[in-house]
Amino acid sequence: MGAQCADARKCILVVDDSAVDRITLRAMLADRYDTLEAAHGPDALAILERQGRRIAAVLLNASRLSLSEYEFLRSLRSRQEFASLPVMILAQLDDFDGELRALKLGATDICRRPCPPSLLQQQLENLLLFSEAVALDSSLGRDSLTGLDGREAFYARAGAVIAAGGEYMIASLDVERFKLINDLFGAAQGDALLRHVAACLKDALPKEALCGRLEADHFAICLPRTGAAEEALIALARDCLRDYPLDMKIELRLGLYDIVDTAVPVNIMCDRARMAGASIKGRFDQICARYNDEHRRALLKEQAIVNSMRDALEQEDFLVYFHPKHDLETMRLVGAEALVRWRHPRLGFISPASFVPIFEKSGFISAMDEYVWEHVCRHLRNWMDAGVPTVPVSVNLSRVDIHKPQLCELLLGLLRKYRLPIHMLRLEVTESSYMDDPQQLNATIRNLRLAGFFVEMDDFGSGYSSLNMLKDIYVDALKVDMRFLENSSDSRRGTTILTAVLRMARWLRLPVVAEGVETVHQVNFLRSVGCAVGQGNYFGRPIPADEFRTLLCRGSVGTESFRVPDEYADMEPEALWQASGEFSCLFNALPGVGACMCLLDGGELEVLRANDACRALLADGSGIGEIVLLEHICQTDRPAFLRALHAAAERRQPQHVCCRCRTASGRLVWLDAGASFLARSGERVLLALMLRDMTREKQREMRLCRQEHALARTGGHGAGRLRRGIFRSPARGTEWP
Amino acid sequence: METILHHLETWGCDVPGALERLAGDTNLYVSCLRMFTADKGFSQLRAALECQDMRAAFEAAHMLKGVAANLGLAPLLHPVSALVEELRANRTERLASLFGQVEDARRKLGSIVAA
Repeated sequence: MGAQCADARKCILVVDDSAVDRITLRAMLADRYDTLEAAHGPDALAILERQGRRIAAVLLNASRLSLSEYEFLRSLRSRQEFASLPVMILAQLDDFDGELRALKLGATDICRRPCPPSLLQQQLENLLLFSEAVALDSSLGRDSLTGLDGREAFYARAGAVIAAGGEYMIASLDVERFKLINDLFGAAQGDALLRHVAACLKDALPKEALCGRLEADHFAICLPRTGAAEEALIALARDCLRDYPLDMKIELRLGLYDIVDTAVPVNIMCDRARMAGASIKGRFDQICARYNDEHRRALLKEQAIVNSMRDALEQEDFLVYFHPKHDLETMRLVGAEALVRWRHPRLGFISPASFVPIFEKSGFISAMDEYVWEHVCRHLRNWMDAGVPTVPVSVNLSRVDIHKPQLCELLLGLLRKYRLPIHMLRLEVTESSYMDDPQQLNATIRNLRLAGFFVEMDDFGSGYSSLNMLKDIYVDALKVDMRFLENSSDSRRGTTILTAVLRMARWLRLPVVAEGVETVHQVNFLRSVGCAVGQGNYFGRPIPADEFRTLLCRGSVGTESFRVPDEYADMEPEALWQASGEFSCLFNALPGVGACMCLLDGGELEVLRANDACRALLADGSGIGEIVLLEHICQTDRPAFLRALHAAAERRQPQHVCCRCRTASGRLVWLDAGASFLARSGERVLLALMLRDMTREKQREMRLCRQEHALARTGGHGAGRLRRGIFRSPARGTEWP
Repeated sequence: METILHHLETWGCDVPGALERLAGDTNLYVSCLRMFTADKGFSQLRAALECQDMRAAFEAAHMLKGVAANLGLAPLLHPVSALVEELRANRTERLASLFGQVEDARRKLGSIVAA
């Protein structure tokens, strides 16, 4: 390994953990380049820090699909001084996944090996030439994409203009959701858009105005503080992209900062203008906002939070609170979710809503999560040592944690350190992690579950991809937030959806935990639809560790009764739900016989599926909509009807019952209902019901009855025989009058 | 030197291809091959398979595959590639026998290039 690079020849940094490979690469490059070598990411970073300026490009062997090489690439790209250092990945011939990951992390180019050395050499040369051209542009201060000033040039020129005197303002112009545009339409379209915006700026603004593109889609303008100039700018923001030929409405966002104190550095002024613009992000009614005290306060607060993050960790200002979870059947305490609170020495209690987004932005949340996990394990160990009856505690895994390569090992290490059985620490992941990177989430969850962890999906239903996710990702439980039902004008709709979700979860054998349970009404509802566990203010607010310990000591702890349907008649329950299949055909094709599947729970009956004949019978043929069977049955006959259903469930034998019923249009019919048992789960029974309209028969019977009475009044011996005749089956032969 | 190269070719290696990548330096090639027979990747692979750490095994095998390809070692590349695919798909039935073939190839390489 060379210690220093000679000046004349360019120097390439080779990062490869195979010694043989390093040797062959050195040989391949020896003609034209000097090489420095490192086996691993951290060593490579150390070399870059010492000799960064001399290194023209990095060759990185990405054979290993995780660990230090990827971390190396990630840290490289996150640092301003290496942001434009070309990185060529050396890949194998069939390794597209690895290549894609490397590209996503910022690799510049890929060379697949084995390849003729001339290929690698040429690729490297092209890479170096290109990066030199870009560097030249940037040393002139020009942004090569748009022709506007680059960042440093803008700061320098704006600084000079402002110092020379006069009243100026800085404006920041951003394209809303630019990243989405790049993703949907491609980088070429994104670049064209930026060029268009730059051209508009050059046209519309007065000559004295300075424009620059500081980065990506962020433009900065320095202009005289006159009404006319400001109006021109606002008009530009409004109209520039109005007729832009892209199949999406694109909006520009403007932030204004009035320069009063010329001692403030230009880059800070640009930040303030940008912050003002950011404050109206997503607001369709406003294109422009001016920086004011409120922004300043928010910025200072965020700064204060960022500055105190690490100290807070060290001084243990983060407190772990426990939010109890109760079994909805027994109402006992069966678990808790660990939540973090921050008691800042100066700012007081800071709510997670304030600091979590900031921590997520900087990646600090990962350190905080590890802190929480460690503290939870410590508490659990202490409680167990003291003989307190304990329950499993769930901890949250943020999106950042999901990408940690050694996540599983880290968690297992904590369990070993505190000698905890694995079932005591449960993991909650959020659906938003799925949206970021579904494959990574899937892989991570699979690893965790293989290791023995119980994984819950938090905030299920809050994102866009719930159904997809449920199909692709296997978790052990779902958490649904009841507050989903709040704030909607039609709570029945929410209830119906929630019920459907819970039912779907049951058929997937997936227990559900309901969060945000506040009222006894909700508790009853959840029990009725088979939800297993509840968490929320009804059961208790999140409490500090010592209060939770007291709660545990009270002794009303238990284990969850996650129920799954435990008895079935001969058919597979899944068959009941499939849209096609023999059962369906049969179900739908029974001529003239109404058939439906119902769930019986005590005195409640719910129709899950009904065939056409059933609808024809009860709802006068109306095609869709819920059938509330019990409501159709006349009140006086309901008890007998329910008794028959219960009997069918208990004796496992079909039972028949006759009852009167009103159709949707009010017509009175006699029903012969036959109930058969299909499946049972606890108190709830699935039954198949066959409904036959026997109105005609009943009417005939009643007519004969009346005739009999009439005869009896006039006297006559035939009456008795008549009576006997009516109640005997015609098939057996009777004496008909 | 010539006999070593000849044996390698009869065994099935792509010697000319590998030499091209090494600017024709036959001494360098043979010393790389010697280094490779003692590559830590093999012991890492063995250890990972023994404690059934599929992920680590995959990575070690993946790395060995790359180097074997670059050195033109087709007889070793075949079992290593197959091993990589089995590990990638989380299939375990053939791992032991494939690793055996990899080790055999390594030993054979060792005997060919022995000084």
